Amino acid sequence: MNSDRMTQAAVDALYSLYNRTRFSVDDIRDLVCPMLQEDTINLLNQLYQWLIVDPSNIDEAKYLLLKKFSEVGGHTAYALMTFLIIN
Amino acid sequence: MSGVGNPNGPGDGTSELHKQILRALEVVHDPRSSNALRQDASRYLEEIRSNEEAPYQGFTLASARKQPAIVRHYGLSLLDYAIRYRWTGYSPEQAEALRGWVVTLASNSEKEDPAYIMNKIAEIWVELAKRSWGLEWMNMDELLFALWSQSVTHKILVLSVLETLSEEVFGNDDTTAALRGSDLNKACVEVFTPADVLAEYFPARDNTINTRFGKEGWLSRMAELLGWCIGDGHLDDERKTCAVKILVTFRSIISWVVPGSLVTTHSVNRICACLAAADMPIQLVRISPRFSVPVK
Repeated sequence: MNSDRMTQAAVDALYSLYNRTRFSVDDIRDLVCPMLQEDTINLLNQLYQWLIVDPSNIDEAKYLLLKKFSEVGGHTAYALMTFLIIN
Repeated sequence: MSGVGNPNGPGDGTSELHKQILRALEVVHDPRSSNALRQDASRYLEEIRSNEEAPYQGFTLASARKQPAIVRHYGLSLLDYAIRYRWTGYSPEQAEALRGWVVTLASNSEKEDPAYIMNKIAEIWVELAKRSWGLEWMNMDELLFALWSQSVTHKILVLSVLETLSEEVFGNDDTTAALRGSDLNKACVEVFTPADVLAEYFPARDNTINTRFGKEGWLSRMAELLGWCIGDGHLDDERKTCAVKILVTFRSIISWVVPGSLVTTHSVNRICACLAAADMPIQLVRISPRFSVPVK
């Protein structure tokens, strides 16, 4: 297992958070918008770079983490879109 | 019903019944036992679960540190059975005695205890909570806090209790929890959320049943402990195990807690900080001031 178990657990927690369906506009402002701050974007970008797997030699654990991480991105983007449309 | 009626138990734990249980466990686990003998012993161990003294015997077996962990685990399974299947037949005093034993076992946990013993204690605690927390068990939160204050081992045990409680109360597939669904649901929100956030979100809530202890709530305690785990950048095994346990507990509770409480307790910041603190082979990650967490 190459993926660090702390990274795994942190991504799981974020996944569980942004997978929530009933966010109010205030919740999105407080919980989703901070993810767009430069520091956070840099950090997530570093994680993404590290998670890129070699398609000819897939590291299973890393791939599953990458998949979950991309879903976190998807859910966050969806929440943001809702926020922008409402505002 | 002396087995649960008397909080001090019927004897010193070396009663005939206690010895018989030990002999039966020995037969079951001895590879040299004949098949017929092993089946007899297994049957005996199953039947004894309904004995009136079984919960007390369970407590003494589970407390017997000189015995192998498998014997202690069997002791815990006797308590578990009593709570799951015989609960409605117990008087308030007997229920109180059972809770006292489980709290004692939790409090006496040690760092060296195997994970399956710790998990079983947490599981039994939650079985009790589902049946009596907020009804006659009003100081559960205070007892959890007392455990939390003991050691990192106890903190991990408390986290297991919180995680299991969250899974069973909000997971929709536990019938016992479903019977008291709305009460347990409210009690969980109450103990996890900081008091000021609770007052802001639910100004008209019913304060008559007070299940919480302390103003900060479990989210703050978890976030603060997570800060300690990753705080100074030297992540030893104990801190890492503890951090992972907190994150796993967060995964469960984060899907239902009041969103505003995640902001005020800095929970999300600290979860992100774990990404920066993790052992990734890229040491390029610049830990910005936003993610560095002061150690209290």
